[in-house]
Amino acid sequence: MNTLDCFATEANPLAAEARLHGEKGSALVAGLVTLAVLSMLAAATFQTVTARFRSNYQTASWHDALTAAESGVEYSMARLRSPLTTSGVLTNPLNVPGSLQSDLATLSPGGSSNNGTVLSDTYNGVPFPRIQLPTLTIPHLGQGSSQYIFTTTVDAVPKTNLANSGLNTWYRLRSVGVVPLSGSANVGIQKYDNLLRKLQFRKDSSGAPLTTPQAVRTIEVLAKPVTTGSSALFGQTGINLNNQNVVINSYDSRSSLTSTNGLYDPAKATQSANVVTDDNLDGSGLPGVINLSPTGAYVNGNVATNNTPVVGSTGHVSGTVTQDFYQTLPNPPNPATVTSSWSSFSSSSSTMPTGTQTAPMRYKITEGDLNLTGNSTLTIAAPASGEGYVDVWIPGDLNISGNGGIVMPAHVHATFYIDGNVKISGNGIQNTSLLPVNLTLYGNHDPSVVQTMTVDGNGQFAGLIYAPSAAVSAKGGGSSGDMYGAVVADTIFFNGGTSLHYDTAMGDNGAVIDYRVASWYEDNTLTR
Amino acid sequence: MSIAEAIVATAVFSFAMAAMISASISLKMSFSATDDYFLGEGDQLRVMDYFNTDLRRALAVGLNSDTATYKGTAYTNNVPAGATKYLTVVIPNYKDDSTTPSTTRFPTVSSDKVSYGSTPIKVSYYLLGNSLYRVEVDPDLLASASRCQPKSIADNVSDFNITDSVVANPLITETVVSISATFAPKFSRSNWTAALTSSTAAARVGTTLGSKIQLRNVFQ
Repeated sequence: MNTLDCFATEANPLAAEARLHGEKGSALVAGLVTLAVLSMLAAATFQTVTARFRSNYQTASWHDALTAAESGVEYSMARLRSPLTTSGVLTNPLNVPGSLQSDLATLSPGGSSNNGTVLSDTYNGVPFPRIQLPTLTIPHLGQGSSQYIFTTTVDAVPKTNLANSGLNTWYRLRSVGVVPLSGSANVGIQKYDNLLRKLQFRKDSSGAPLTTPQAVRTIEVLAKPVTTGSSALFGQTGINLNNQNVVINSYDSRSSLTSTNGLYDPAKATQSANVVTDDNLDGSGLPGVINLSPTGAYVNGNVATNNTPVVGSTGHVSGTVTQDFYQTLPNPPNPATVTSSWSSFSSSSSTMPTGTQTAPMRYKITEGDLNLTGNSTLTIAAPASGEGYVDVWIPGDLNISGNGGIVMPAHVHATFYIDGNVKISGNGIQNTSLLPVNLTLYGNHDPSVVQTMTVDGNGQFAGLIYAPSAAVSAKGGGSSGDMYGAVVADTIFFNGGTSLHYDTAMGDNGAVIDYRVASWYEDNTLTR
Repeated sequence: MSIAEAIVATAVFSFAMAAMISASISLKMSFSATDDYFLGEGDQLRVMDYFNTDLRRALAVGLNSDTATYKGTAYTNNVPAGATKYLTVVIPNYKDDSTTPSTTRFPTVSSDKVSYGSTPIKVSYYLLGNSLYRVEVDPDLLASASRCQPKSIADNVSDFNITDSVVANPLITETVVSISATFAPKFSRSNWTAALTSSTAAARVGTTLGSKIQLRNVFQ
């Protein structure tokens, strides 16, 4: 009650009371109207905010669904890598019982696998198995949903669909990421969003009814095998190319566009020779360093380290220089466990017969060391027909000097397991075909053994050196100082006018050490 | 009621009404500005998502062009005259749409290059008038098919500014594309005008939304 009301009450109490009753009614009406207006304002505000919140929430969940699908790809890639990394030694995943690769190679559609559910599909009328890995659900916090759900299927790309892409199997990974949407089953307020972000409210992709709305995204990835020869130079703890006369470039022995009769042709050289290093895995804790010298060695490809700046000039690097490289290198195979059926072979013998790809001849040097000095020559016999394969285990050192050497005729594929040090000079290893894929030198399988390998002399070296624990140095091979192939070692040192011509065909052959994404596609049927 | 009471009541009422009206106007302007901001940001997000989605799976990219070259072949979408060309990508032709229902193609690999079908799909983005368009041409379909027609993905976007700080054209060494988009916030007429006249206006810079996209297929 205010002051005026007090005066009125004293003069005419009844009239004042009547007016007060009327005013109280007005106040009630005014209050109700005000309340109604405020309620409508609040309702409009809530409606506006809710619609926008729902729109944002759905957008966030749609993004989460891609993360879920990518997680599925990572999961299946990890499953593919598992047989490669378990033993720490170069392993053929097809030979690991129960591995995803082994199951896909051996199972028939409708079979069973510990890796997941075996599904059946057909390609060109031929049935093939697909393995659906177990569906995983990952809880998480943050805007959007509270769950990531993904389901991945894996199958092998048919050999008939692979051309000039190596002998190892490629795999197709299809991952479906699902994220539940909370709230009502209504689309967002922005009409164009609904064209891009196709959310599922009532039914899933197969038409089955849904109890909870969801965001779904599907991606398909092709996993390409990474082999021991995937880089021109791979030094775990360092690479030193000590002057500008060192040249690293590439060619493809399978293509007439980048080679002549399968051989390196300077006029057709390419720029796919990558030089990479890692943070070393042998426990010293030192980062891998690439030194290109102040004058700048020529690298026709990319240079990559693991978070360590390149030393020297990068002015002659044709590709990118990055610091984000990482690759685990398994140890070379232990010949004692590769097979127990090694035939003894004396270095005084002159000719070494070969076998077939599935049944290569295997020899162990009885003297331990293989010394080919003076005029001593070891000749591997040319196959009578087709291709010949031979494995040689040298428990000691390999020394080639003077006029000595190893002769590999064309069509011979040789693999050397060398436990001791290597010094290749003299006539070297004469890989007559000059196809690097035909010759592999494996270093010691024990990473604690200190091993050195030196390549020089008159014989041109054409092959792969895979010795992740060895120190490899090259001082020019042959009269032109050329080498063909790739080197994987602990440290690599090139001096003089050494040139390495990397055959990119090596990247598709050899032993598998990893898988990487070669193709990525999201099937979101954008405007359909 | 005395004259004094009437004057006081009128003054109080007028003051209250003035406050209420100005509050209502301010509230509406605030709501409108918030709404515009939300819509602008929504447009930004959508455009970035379209770009991200197509660039991630691109086989080749042509910047500021309606052409992208893949395996030595130039793929062109003829955009309308006068349009501002932003980007053209070719993407795998994952589904065979010449059949009903469409079927998923199986990949083939030749010299380490993955293909789905013989001819890829062309996607172009361009600005025409106030709308940003996306056109996706599928070789499996007739040119007159609905899917091959340009579709607006954001309207009233004359204030959009899309930049790229990394891509070289043609792509040779880059594997990552950075793009960003801004819009002019409509909080005040002066800011709005300033943001439209200069892409570096502070009012506009504050709305920058950026994205870094790894091109997963271009260098396979």
